[in-house]
Amino acid sequence: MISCREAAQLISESYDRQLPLRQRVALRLHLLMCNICPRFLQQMLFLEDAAKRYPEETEREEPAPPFSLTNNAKEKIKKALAEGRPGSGPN
Amino acid sequence: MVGGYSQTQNYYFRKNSREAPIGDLTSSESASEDLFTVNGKWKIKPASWGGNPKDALEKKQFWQTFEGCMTSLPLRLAQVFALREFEDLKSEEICNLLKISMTNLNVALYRARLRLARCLETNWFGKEGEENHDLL
Repeated sequence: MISCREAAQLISESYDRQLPLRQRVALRLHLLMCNICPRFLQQMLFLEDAAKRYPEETEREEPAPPFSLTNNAKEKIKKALAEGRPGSGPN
Repeated sequence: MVGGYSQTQNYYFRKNSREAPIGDLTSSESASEDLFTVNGKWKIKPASWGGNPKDALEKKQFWQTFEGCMTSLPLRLAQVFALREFEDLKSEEICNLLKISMTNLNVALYRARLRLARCLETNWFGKEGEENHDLL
């Protein structure tokens, strides 16, 4: 059985990549047996929700937060993508 | 023209980006390890954040706390977390940008998340929890 430390690392990684079956099973088993790690999983779920909303929530604030692109920059990127600059992607 | 963008780039790639960032990510500084015993058990157990932690997302003060927690992260950890979660870059893209291995990125993201969770627990949910306790 994997340790809580390993489980916590796998929980984090599950947000970045599809875990191999073996690790998924090991994590599930651990979560069934452990009464602490499910709390960490809940915290990570919350953190993901919060992180998704962070850029829009802090956009309204002045000055622009240092952790996200400015609206202006986002518009420019969107525009560049829409124009389909050569070599910028399959479209 | 690209002022806003390059400013952000300056933030993400502020100094030393060409020098091995790996040391920053995996150096002896290991807050995440401090949370576990040698046997890999939680030393400081994550607390329950109550029935409706998402209510916090509607509160302006919460976002100030969140921002404070982001600021308290070591720069490298804040960078990888921001690139992954706020800019929604794929892991491979971040590895290419920062010239780090996937293993190092995964460890850095893990540490950033652990620290953020710990920070929110202390500075937001902990306080709320105490208030709730007083009410009961």
